[in-house]
Amino acid sequence: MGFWTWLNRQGSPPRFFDWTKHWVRWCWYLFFPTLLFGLYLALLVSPADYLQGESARIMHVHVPSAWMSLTVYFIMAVQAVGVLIWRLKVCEALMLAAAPTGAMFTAVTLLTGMLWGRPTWGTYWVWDARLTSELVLFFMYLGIVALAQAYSDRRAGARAAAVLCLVGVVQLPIIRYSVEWWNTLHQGSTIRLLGESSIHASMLWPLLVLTLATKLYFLAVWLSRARWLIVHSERQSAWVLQRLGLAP
Amino acid sequence: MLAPDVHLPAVSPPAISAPAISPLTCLLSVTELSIERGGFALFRPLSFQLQCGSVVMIAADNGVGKTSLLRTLAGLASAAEGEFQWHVAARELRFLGHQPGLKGALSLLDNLRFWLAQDQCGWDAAAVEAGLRRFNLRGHEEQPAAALSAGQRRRVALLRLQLSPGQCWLLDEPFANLDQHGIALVQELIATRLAQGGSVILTSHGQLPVPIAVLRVALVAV
Amino acid sequence: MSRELRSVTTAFRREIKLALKRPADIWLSVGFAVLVTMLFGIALGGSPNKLAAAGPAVLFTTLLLASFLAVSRMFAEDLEDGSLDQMLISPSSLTAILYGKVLAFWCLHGLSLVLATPILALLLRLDMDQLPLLLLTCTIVTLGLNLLGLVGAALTVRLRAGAMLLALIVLPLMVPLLVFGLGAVMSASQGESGIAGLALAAAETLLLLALAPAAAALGLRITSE
Repeated sequence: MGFWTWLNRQGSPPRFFDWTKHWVRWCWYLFFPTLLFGLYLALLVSPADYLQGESARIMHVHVPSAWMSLTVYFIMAVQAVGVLIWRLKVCEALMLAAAPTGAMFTAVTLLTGMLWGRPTWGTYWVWDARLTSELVLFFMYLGIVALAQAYSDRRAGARAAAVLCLVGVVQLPIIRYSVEWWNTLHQGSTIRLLGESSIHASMLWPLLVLTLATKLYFLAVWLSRARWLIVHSERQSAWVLQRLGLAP
Repeated sequence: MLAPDVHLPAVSPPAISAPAISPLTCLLSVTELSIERGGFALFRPLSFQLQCGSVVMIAADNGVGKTSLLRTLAGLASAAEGEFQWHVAARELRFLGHQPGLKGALSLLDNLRFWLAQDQCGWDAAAVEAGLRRFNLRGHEEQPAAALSAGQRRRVALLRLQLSPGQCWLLDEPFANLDQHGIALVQELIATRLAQGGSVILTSHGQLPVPIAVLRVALVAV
Repeated sequence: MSRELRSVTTAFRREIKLALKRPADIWLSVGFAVLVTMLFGIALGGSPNKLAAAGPAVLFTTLLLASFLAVSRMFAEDLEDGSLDQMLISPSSLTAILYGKVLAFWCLHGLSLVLATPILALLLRLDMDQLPLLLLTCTIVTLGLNLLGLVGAALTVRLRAGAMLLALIVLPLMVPLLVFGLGAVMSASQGESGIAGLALAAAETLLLLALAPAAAALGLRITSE
């Protein structure tokens, strides 16, 4: 059979459900050790920053979360293309499953940023470029989720959310740039919560390990939520009943 | 499902210049079409064909999904299962729903002007004049459409159908809320459209008030 | 090509004609903007320092909110009287119709706000030397805001949740326009040329002008049911 037929078949809900079954489990198995190792490196092994002291350790959580909050949005945008062009149910599920986790990463970025800001700047909130961008991104995630849920027809809601996601992904670089530009206008130089730009090797390893941990976490949560969404939306079809053992 | 009530006299193939359409051309083929509301199918899967120069009547009780089906066929909604294929260009479809799209604040003539412009149809003043007379709308041209009665508003929509024909009409309960004269008008309009090689899909929840040869498609509620 | 252009002008003329029969809508937008500015003026206590610092920000935020309010009603009437269905099924390209619609909307609601800007600037004790730049910036920014609002309105047209959901969807996307417009005005007030912000706002608006009606047309199609 042709390649596209094969690809289409692979992308069908039952197939997706079958071959992600083990992925989720393995992602969890790999995630916990990676997380522990990363935290160990971050909290115990890497040296305290000479300027900011122990609180700089929070950067190891803040930075990977920030990266993931952006990555997840781009992943959603890719799925949105699949939703709009090919109307794939699997893409709908993947896109909607990614949104809450993306919002969570954004929230973690904001919270860790606030926790870091307190000892560093003396205040919990600073309108610096990164925090402001993350706040706007948080609302963009909420908007997508709210729009998808506002529709009683689930598939129309997913399509509307896909359009919003694509509009957002085009606007996202512009938003981030505009916020940075605004900051330079106000403070004369870019204030970065991150502090100095060079990162020592001893600080690099915890960062990388924790980045890997966030990706594993995301894969695990994303795929399992997507699987749940597919099963829920197809709950009346034969293959679901079969997989759940409720029918022969 | 074929229940012709009355046979119209045989019509010769349309004398329109181009494109020449054979009377047996299929304009729309529907295969196992099913529509959902809230995750549940409204009616059993539907299949039928619309031939050139014929009328399909979609019959069902209220709430079973006549309007949803018509909207789906018009491209205004999406189908859940099955498929349908139009063999005419989308620009040849004309949809007349319960609300015809009349702007209350604009005058009757303005509404017609904008409709015809949107339908990419030229403005033929003589034809408009004749149409206003035929549809009993003389004297109301400059009135805001909101001041017209429901029947009059219906007739404006029908006048628009006459002025900007399009090959296939999708009419949602075209005989509702019309008096005898209006019903006769609709019948004439449909007959003229068929004679010129067009087709009509209409919905009804009961018997048609006038004899028209139709292919009756009944929606069976699930 | 001329067919599309004719569709644009048809839709444009229809909206203008409709609005002229009901001028109250436009006055409402302007009235809202003046009212909000008045509240800010009162709240800031009228002290010249605070007003000077906060003035432009208040002005642009007010414009944003007033635009947003107007936009939430953009398709409401079309949905009710069946015009939306007719637009979707019309032989004219839906994108062309939406271009006409949004441009008319901007002429009515955006430009009217721009015309009210001198009043707002007066209330906020802004520097009147900056007025030409301010008006130009507001013209560009309101067009961009209306284009974004068009997309949001198209995505939420059939929902009952309405204005609050529209706010959640559209306001984050309006941040660049807000920032660029403010940047232009604030640079100018500090003695530099405001051209950077103006150019950025114009670039964003041009991008939206190219993409927004098509996105809105897609949104209308896929959410119709």
